[in-house]
Amino acid sequence: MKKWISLILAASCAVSIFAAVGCEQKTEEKPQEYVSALPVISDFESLDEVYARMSFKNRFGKVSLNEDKKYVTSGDRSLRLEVHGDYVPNSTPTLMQVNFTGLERENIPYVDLSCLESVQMDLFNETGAEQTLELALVIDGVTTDYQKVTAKAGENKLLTAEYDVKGLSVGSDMTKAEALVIKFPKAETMEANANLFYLDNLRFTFLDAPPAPIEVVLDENEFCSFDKAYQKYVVQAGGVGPTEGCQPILSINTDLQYCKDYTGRSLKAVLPRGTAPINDGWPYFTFIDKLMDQFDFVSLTEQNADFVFDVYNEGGAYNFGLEAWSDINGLKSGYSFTAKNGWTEVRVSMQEFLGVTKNEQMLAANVTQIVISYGKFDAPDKAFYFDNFRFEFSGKNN
Amino acid sequence: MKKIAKTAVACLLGAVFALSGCGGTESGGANAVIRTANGADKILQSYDTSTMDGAAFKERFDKVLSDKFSIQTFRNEYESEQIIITPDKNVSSYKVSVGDFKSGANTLSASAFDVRHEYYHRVESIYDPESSMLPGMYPDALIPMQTAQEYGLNTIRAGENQGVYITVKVPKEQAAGTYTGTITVDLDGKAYTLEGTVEVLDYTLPDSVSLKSSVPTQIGYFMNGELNDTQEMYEVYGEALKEYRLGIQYLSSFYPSGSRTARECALYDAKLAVEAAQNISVPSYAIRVFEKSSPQFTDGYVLNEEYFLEYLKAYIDVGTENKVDLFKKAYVYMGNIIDEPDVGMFWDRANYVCRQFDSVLAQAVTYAQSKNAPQDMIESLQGLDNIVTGRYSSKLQDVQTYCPTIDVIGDSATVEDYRLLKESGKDYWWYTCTLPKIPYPTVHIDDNGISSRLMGWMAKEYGVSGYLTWESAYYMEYVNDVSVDLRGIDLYENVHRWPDAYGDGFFFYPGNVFGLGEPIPALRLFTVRDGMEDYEALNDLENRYAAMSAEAGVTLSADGVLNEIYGKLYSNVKTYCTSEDILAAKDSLARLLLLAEKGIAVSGFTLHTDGSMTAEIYSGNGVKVSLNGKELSFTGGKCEVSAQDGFVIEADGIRFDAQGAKVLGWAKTETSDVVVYDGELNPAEDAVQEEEGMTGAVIPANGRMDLSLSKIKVNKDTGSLLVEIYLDGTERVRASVALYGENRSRLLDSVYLHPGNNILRFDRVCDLDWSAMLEAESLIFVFENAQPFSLRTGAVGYTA
Repeated sequence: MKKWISLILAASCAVSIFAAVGCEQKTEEKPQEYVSALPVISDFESLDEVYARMSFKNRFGKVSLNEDKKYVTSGDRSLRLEVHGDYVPNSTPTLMQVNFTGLERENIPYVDLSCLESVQMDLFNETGAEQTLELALVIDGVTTDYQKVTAKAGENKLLTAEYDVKGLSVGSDMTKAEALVIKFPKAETMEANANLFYLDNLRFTFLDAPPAPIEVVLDENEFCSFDKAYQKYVVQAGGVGPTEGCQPILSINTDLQYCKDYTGRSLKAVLPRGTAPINDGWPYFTFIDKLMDQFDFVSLTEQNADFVFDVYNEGGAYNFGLEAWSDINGLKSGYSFTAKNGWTEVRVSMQEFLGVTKNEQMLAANVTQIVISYGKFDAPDKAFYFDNFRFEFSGKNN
Repeated sequence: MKKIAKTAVACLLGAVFALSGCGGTESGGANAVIRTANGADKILQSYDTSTMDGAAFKERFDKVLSDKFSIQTFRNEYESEQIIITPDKNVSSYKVSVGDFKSGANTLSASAFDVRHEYYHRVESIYDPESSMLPGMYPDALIPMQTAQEYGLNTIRAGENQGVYITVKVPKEQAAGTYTGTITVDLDGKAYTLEGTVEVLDYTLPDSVSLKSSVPTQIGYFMNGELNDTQEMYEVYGEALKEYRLGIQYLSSFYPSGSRTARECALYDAKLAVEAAQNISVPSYAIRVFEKSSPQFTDGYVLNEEYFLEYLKAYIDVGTENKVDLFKKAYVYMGNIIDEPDVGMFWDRANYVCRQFDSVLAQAVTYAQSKNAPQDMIESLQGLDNIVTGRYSSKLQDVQTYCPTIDVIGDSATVEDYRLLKESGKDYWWYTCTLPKIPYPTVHIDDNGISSRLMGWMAKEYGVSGYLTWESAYYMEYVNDVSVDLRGIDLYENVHRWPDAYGDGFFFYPGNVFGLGEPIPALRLFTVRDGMEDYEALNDLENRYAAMSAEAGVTLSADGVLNEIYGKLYSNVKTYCTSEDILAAKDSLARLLLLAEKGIAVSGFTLHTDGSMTAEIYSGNGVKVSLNGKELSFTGGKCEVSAQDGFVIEADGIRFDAQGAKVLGWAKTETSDVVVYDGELNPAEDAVQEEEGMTGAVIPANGRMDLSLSKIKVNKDTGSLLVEIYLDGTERVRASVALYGENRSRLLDSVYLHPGNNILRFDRVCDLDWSAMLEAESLIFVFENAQPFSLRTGAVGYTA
């Protein structure tokens, strides 16, 4: 065991140190090309490291070390990935997760990716066809949006997924990076060959210095209009229970047809077909802490403002939950609303929404998350557009 | 042997080495004590003898160590022996190899031997309150010797034990005989040789696996260990379980998901079942069932009938198309829907789900008929086992196959109750799931391997139809009510995966860690397989007796003589016996099988309280048979015999001794020996009187009877206690029976008395706690009777 711990520590320290150096010291002491080459996430040289730092989920397939030099770009080995999956399209994706700091149980600090520029890898795509991989970071327990990268058939040197760390920093504490998740395309059928890849030289590149942070700026009574550039980063997908592979896919919509009053932008939420078990698990999206921190919910509740937003639905009526959560056990509230065909205005009084108490603690004073959730469904993907989250004062108490 | 031992002692400069000469070089290698142990005995890497318990623990296992490498085996059977190497210096590289064994001109090839390095795992706490084992480094993962060498595992620290697990599987065509050969132990270039013997008996163990089993194996755990969660690897695990005579629960690792329908998955499974159904080494397989929510129940799921019917239809279609009955070995285990309803007390939902099962089964039968499925397949479908974990309860009337933990079937009366269930058309399996604990059989690392081997014997004796456990490859750790990942070598280093049971949930270690494409088996699998093989041999004996019965038009049963063997091994599923006891029992079983091969049966054997033994010997082929040296004469192949002071059958060079069955002392009970109490424990006046040469007693409702044992000696050296009781009336009566002495009582069993004469037998009395009782004074019967009844007591006797 000792050998393992030291290995993990060594690996994690290397990443941590380099990541930190990347931001603060490298511009003075190291040439850019040297720094960029340093922070190798993994060179896939030992099985011990694969076991210690990597996990492969959802019927991934078969993973092994390759020693065939034809598929090695750095060191003596690369990682051979025979991706099977469950052979069911649009269901649970096959994921490879590389923990930057070893297993969770080792209690090793996070990695600072404040200066992250990109993730790069050398990939041999032996499927015979162009393939799309998707990469995401896990920052402080939250998975960021996936970045798509296209790998042509054959060798892909320095395949790069660039990260807008300035934007990511709005919603995520980039000093608390935990892992990289790569979504690989699964085999189409059991009878077909598995998708074969060789992966080597997986690494970060860093900016010279952390970018200036984006400030959260709001119009009067605005909660989130999605019209401002930073607002693409203020929502996060998640889920209660088994929701892997079917959490909402969130993006900013610029098609005015799906923006309230044909102006600005809106949030597009694609709700994927549910993955098994269908009757368990509730996907949701929520708003980041930094946005929540902008509001005095106690005051808004006392003024009995309404929390209002608009949702557009192209299909049949569909039910959502609007919930407010706190860190206090049992102190939460929830309402259901139906997104009818076309635009629906959803309105809830803050007194009803956040005025609830438990053990003399009011939710408004403790609310940590506002959540829009729904039940999984076994039907094709659905798309909804959310716009203009705001507070309105109807003159009732103000 | 004496000469060899003398040479060895000289070679090893006074070390307690008692095996063969020490050949090889003397260049710096360690001196070592090399001993052997049975494959079921857990010899720890080292013992802490600084405490009295520790010293006693070491002494207990020192006693099982031997200077002989000796295996007795059937053809087509696996048997194992361990070599325990204890060097006086650090050994940086050791290896063990086995050469060809010879018997005259015949050779038992070295390739028949499998040699494995024992990997030691830390057990920090002993959770079983009645366990006499202690914390320490226990052997479990058995790494192929070659692999251990390649990965540098083959080192030994000075003074520590290193076990090497040697298993022989004798080919079916091997000639019977005693084979001798050499085992070489090389310690850093210094070689020791051991002479070994393998006695191959003239009997071939069947390939068939008659005891069904269900070993769930979740593909979701595989990545942590094998870095491979493909169906291919799943099938490798299934094959590995089959190697140990166990059946993986599901034949495939797929289930309906997204656009993949139940029909598609079911067809895939059913096609795999075609091969499995025809392979006699596959004991059983499960048909998948799925859960769904129901507004009727808020405490859990119900059966997804639609999916279940789809599965059954697919099996019917594929079975009919391939002309194979896919239901004969199939079963359903609803652990994902109604697990342990007796513990969770969700009786209504459990019964409801079982009725759903029956309803779907009826629809499937109609479908099978419409598809002109063969009648035997339809009958198998109608009898499809629906296994529900949990004990029988009158509140679970709709359950078809009960599956309690092993300890539940823990007394004679309960066994009888379950047998009656079977007669009524229901069935029962049993299972292990962290429970039971020692002294009941377990598959825990910190239990001696004897108990898991005995599970096979017990299953046969108690009529258990199958064995179920919860997982074979739990490559996780259960921490704070959550399963968390455990990966790679940590799966070897951390065997405390479940809070109170070392080893529960995994029979394998990931082979990928050591570059192997298949899992590495736990030592426990070897002992489980030994028990499964014993079960098969017992089953074959039963079949042979049945065949002889059919041929001769008589009824022959080995049950009586097998009771003698069972009685030496355990009592009421509690295990205290030694590996030596098992080998003796196996030897007796072997001799019965060898006799049966000659067409000879020992039927209806009964040991009476007065020490007499009666039986019916059958010799169908005219082979001459003697009893205690006297040749028997047969009429129509049968001969009724009676003997006192021993029961030794000999025929055609085969000698069978009924386990030395012998009553050491007995006494007729008299009225002064019997005291009866009413339900309030008041002495019942005039309840006892002499009747027809026996002592009659009238037992009040819920009464108690004390039977004096003062005329015989019942103590820690007692084997079995025999009591003759004649029950009047027509109803059976249940009683708890305990020994009493020095103001203490020790529960023996719960039994039913049946109308007529009963010879009650309590085996392995020596296993009771005798620490505060030198000798038993009386036997206490506490009856469960609503109405008074009468009985008569006969003699009491005891055996060694």
